[in-house]
Amino acid sequence: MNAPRPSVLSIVRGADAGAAREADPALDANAYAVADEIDMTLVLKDRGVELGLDDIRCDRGTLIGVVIPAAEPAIDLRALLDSGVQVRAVAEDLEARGIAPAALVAGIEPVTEADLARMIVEHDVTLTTSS
Amino acid sequence: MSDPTQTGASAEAARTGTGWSATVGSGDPGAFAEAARTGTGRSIVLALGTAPKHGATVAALRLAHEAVQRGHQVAVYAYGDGVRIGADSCPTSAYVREFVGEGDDDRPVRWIVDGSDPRTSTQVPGVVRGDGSDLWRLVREGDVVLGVTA
Repeated sequence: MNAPRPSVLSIVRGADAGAAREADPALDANAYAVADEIDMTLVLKDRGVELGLDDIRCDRGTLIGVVIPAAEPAIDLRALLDSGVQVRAVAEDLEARGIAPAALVAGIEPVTEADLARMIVEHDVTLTTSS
Repeated sequence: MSDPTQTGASAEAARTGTGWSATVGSGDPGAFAEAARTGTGRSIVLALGTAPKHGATVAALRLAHEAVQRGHQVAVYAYGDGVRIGADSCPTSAYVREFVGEGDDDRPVRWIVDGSDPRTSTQVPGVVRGDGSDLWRLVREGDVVLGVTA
């Protein structure tokens, strides 16, 4: 008999969307959940909401002839959404940063802190990561 | 005797948004959890994303040590700045080396790093290079899951 799929609430709290790296390490780790036997809901919280911005562009550029890598979190988030993962962003954290929900990648839904508290109770596991 | 994984510290940190976060295992009886059950204690998973000198890292290492002392099994998945903790030239690698030995199966601590990070090339012996799939396997199998963030 197959074991039940645990429901996981994955909260991404940190963000450095302009970091010189190929991928955001927290989002990259979360992307692997799609292939695993879990049901995941991803929540962007605190600085993590900045990862949800739809229009972040980082020129890769070069330095002394070496390419500077640039992560593009919006691409990772679109892939998660396309895979059926629900992605949420905490409304209070968006407001604190002056980010309108309309500025987020399409499909990311705002949730309140109260919603998040309920979600933590409802899920089997809550895991927080930061990049 | 109290169980360190069941105190209010992690829950409190989750509420306050500092250091430790969250929590409760799914109870899915995977290999890691089964090994812990047939031995002693519970299986504790640490998703460790903080830099070596960060206070949360030190707390995580101390918690891992304390958990092992109390008979629990610990699995660490290090990602982001956390991959430097086990880097050969980093002072914290001494702790990792002590935890994992040469990666023997009977060690109570397993240490897996995100192998996609280029900084994982200098890890101490016994550290396993993995990827995000290892994190979610551990999440399924663990009794308790803790995220360590800045």
